[in-house]
Amino acid sequence: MSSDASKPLAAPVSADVRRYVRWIGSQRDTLGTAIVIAAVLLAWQFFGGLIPKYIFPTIPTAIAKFQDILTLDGTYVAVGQTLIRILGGFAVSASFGILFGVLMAMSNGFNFIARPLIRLIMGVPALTWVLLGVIWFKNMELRVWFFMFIVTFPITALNTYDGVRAVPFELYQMTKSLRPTTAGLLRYLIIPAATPFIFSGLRLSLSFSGRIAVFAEAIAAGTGIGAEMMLTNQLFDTAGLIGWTLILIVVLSLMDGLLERIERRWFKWRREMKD
Amino acid sequence: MVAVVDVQSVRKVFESGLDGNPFTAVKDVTFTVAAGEVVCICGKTGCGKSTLVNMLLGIDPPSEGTIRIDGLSPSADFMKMRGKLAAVFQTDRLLPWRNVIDNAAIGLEVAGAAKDDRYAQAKAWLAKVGLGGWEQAYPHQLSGGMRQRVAIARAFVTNPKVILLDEAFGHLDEVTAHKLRQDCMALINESQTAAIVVTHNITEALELGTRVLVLGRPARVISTHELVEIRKRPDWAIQRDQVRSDIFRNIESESFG
Ligand SMILES: Nc1ncnc2c1ncn2[C@@H]1O[C@H](COP(=O)(O)OP(=O)(O)OP(=O)(O)O)[C@@H](O)[C@H]1O
Ligand SMILES: [Mg+2]
Repeated sequence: MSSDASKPLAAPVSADVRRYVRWIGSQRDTLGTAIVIAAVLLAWQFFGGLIPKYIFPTIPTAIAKFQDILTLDGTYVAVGQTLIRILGGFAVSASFGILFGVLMAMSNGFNFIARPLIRLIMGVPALTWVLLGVIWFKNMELRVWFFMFIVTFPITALNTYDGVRAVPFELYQMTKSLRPTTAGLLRYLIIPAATPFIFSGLRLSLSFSGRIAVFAEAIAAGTGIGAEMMLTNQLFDTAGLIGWTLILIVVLSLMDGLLERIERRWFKWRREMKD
Repeated sequence: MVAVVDVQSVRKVFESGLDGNPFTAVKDVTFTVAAGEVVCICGKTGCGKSTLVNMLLGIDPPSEGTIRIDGLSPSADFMKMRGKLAAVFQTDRLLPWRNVIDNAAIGLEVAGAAKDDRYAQAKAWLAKVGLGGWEQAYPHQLSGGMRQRVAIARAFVTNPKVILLDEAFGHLDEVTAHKLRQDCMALINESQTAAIVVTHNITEALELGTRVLVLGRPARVISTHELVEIRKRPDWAIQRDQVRSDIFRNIESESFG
């Protein structure tokens, strides 16, 4: 080894090793998750034997049940139903929320009415909305959609509103001086400038959509993952509940991952700025 | 010479100034600019120069008086003025999510030019400001001086009748500012645009202007200095120092204005 003292200590370590260490560092989140999951499994294995099986199944029972669930055709139907509900409800509520938020920020008159309205909607307990949905709508799909919509569109709307309000005034003046139409102003400046806010609203609202869809399915629809979970509950089938929960978690994380990926692509310029 | 810019008795009162009362930012400004002229506007900070620029751009209408650019009112005939007016501001005001060429071409895009056409023109102007090869870069990848060059290309790309520079070189280091000033002037002369250059740098005004207007605070023209004739004289250097001290004295005399 060279005795040159001016060389940094890390120099003798090969580039590959350093890259590997950096990779581990970048995987810190994944590592943490893995440790937590391992700990939970260990605790489960340890305490599982001490508790009656119907209250909490052992790991092998749960795995066997999960495999059972995966072999049933009905499972995929239920997952499909829930997915369509979440994505459909999310698409409707997201587009409406963005439109609503932009209007709020661009028109004082609209904002005058819209803000108290949103505050009112958000102030009403979620359970009230589910029950109202059951009373108001006979159609199962409408019930679920209504519930998702009423809970998530205010989130997107308020985030969009904040995003539009945060557009730098200097950029507004510059764009305005180019004399775009209102649609052009939205397209060239306001929407792209507000997109970071809109995206965080969308991700929040998507995760709410997922939770709420299954909640509404359990109470008001009778089909989908939520209804299956409700059924396991009625049958004291804890292993089934765990299995379905696992499926739900996978579905929700896949959707969030998708949105995150879109967001990353969109924000190439922003990500590089941070580096 | 026909005036491209005609500003008559313009006044701007903000309904609520800093203390909540009406605030007169521009008191009474009158001047004209012909094609090919470069009118420099000097004045103390806060005397209403940027307010005047905003009125010329049409994004803020005057409270009183009239502004005509190419015979039209920039605020009342707002949409008809598309592409005729351009500005370079103190900060680059580039859109961070657009790359260099899309930033430079935005004026043409707003005006509805076809993609090939606007890219070809933006590319040509970027080359003229010395940014050939940087088309795909994003603003955050450029230095402040380079970003300001993009802003200059963006201003020229629509072939405006009038170009407004509001402290466009103000926050660059002196060497960069000097170079950029010269390049920008060459483009103004080449395109025969009427130019209004706002600056509180008197040396810059004397270097660039065919005429210098000195504003009091709140804005009104307190003196006008024609430079075209005396710049041709052999004793220009001496004359320039004389004008500089005149301007300096005029601005000074406004300290309680
Ligand atoms: N929208 C506004 N409402 C109220 N007052 C304003 C507004 N815009 C500007 N002013 C005031 O008008 C005065 C002139 O401002 P302006 O920005 O035109 O000055 P300026 O000459 O460009 O100064 P600087 O050289 O520092 O850029 C300032 O005192 C400012 O506080
Ligand atoms: Mg200013």
